[in-house]
Amino acid sequence: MSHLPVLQVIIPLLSAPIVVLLGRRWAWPVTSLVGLVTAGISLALLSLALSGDPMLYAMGGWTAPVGIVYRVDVLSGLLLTIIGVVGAVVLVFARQSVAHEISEDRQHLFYAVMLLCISGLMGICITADVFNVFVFLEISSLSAYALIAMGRSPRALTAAYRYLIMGTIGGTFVLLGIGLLYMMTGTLNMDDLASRIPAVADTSTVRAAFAFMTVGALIKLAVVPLHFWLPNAYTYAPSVVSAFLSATATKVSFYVLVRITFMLFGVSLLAQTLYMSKVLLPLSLIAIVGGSLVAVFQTDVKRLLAYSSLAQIGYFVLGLALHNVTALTGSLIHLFNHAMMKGGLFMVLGCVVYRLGGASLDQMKGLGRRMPITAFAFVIGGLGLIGVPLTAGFVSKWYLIVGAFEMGQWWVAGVILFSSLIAVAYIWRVVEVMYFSEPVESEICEAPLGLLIPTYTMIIASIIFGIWTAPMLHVASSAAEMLFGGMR
Amino acid sequence: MMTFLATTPMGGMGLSEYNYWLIVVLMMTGLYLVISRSNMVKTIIGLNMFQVAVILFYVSMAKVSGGTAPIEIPQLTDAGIQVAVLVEAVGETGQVTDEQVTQIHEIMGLIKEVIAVLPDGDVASALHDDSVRQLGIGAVQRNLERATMEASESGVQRTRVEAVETLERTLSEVVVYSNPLPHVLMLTAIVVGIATIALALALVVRINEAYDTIEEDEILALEANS
Repeated sequence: MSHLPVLQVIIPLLSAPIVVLLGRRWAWPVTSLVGLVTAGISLALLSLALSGDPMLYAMGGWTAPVGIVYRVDVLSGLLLTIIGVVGAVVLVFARQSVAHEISEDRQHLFYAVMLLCISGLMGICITADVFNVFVFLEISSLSAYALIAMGRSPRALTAAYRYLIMGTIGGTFVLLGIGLLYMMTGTLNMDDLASRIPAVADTSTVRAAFAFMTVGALIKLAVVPLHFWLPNAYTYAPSVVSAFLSATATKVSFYVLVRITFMLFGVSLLAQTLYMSKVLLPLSLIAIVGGSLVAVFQTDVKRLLAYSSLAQIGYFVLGLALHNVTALTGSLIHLFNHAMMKGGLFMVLGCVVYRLGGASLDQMKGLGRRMPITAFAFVIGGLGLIGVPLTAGFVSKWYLIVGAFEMGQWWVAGVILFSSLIAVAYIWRVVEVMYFSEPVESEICEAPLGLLIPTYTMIIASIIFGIWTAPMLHVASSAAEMLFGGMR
Repeated sequence: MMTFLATTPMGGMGLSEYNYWLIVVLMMTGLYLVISRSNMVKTIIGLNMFQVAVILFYVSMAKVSGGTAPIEIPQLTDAGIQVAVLVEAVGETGQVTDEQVTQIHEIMGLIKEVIAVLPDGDVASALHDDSVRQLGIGAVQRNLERATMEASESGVQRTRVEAVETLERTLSEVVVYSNPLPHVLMLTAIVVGIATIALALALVVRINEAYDTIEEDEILALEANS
């Protein structure tokens, strides 16, 4: 049990070369087994983190500040669970979807890169060493670029290229920020940094470090106006990759942003720079409204969901910008809920692409008759995105609205409601095409069970956690309280 | 806490910290290339410059004025171990025996030998630096002479204990070396940079196969038409 934190990262990392060596035949079984194991470990770590103090694991017995320490608290446990569970479900889904979308000689490489990506994302969430964060950030980003480039359309290549340019600038900004912090404090350990930064907080070096690290994280998070890489990347990536990255990568970037803001720099510096209310709040509101508005006018449903993701990223940042426990709780629940909903919806589109070869509105005409089960999954997931009561999306939006009222900013609640109305519009466009248009061909071609079962796992989870809210609420609120407690 | 840094980081922002200004210029040149170039390979070159600037930034901040590479000098390590044992023994008893005085003389002889050899040696680049010669060797010699005098005053325990302390301080002044950690970090960052550039160039090769061009303007036009 005591080695779980390192196993969480090491197992997928070492499995990647093994999968390459094993070749095509064994790639999928081994990869999905690893996915299930890491999901199990992440759940175990979350329950350990919930039961007590943060768990520290000294790499190779070298304790901080000499060695690199892994640190599991409730927040990292939550993120690990999202990555682990989504990763496992998506990998089960991958068998048929990948067989259809990726040429046979590259499939085992695809699975290897997928494992590297999981390993990198896990590493970011578990390490307590800021330079280690940078290394894992680059591991996950590099594998994400490669995964996106495996899409069938040549535009996947340009999408990956643009993501690479933006992502590398973001990563280098983070690296520069870490360097400036090391200059001032002489340590890379997060706990040491947190205790040493206050003494030097009022210097331009630390302010510059904060600016570089925040902007770097915001680029990776794709907050408007740094979002231009995201829509194309999610649209042209293979369905499995869209589902996985939309459910995990942006969440992990948000985690990095939260760690930088709360753990490293704390409240005093934030109050000085006013960056919460003057920078993050307007940006998040623009993202929430703008992302939803642009989504309404898309003709490709994958692209529509990508723009909807921009709006959802706006919700995460809004919870951080409102800067109270309730709103941050809402934000953290939304991380989990959005992973279920958006992951599920992209998997629905994976089913559609599997049968129809594409997911444009024209191709989805009459889908309600041709693929009734798949279409119904989209409707449920869509209701979640809108935030209808009894879906998971309602819970997170509720907490965000209550948080906004607590800060006396009732108009923010108005913006959230307005954005939900626009979400009704873009989900309705798809529903209308699916159920009220004549299909191009009339024969029924439902997706195979191997795709439907994982898809429904995610979609039904988003309903279950909308009704049975207690467990996620407990995790999210204790994480939010821990973050605010650490600041005082 | 701050002793590992010889220069004040960005505090003054005067021209004395010209290394940081050069890095900023290099970094912004790289960023400008990334933004302004339409040719994908040129963009990647800009991206690489941008990354290299940050690597230079780390290496530059690790430099301690007059510091040498953190390489072990065996004789001094022996002396260091002996002094550590001595300090511990004196710390426990508060007394310096006559035998230990002899030992102090031996260690001082050892250090003097090393210093005499070092300026001609390969490793001691620090001792070629004038400021260090003054600060380092000068202080070492003065301290040694004082310690010798103190140690020979038999029976005066206070000066004997002071001699041991001086000796300990002297040893730490003999070798000044740069902070090795940023260099180690940059080895990792360089590997990450190579991986990024390799992946980016591989993508450009594939883009060239698919679109028959690597000019972003032309690709955007092709994508808009399709």
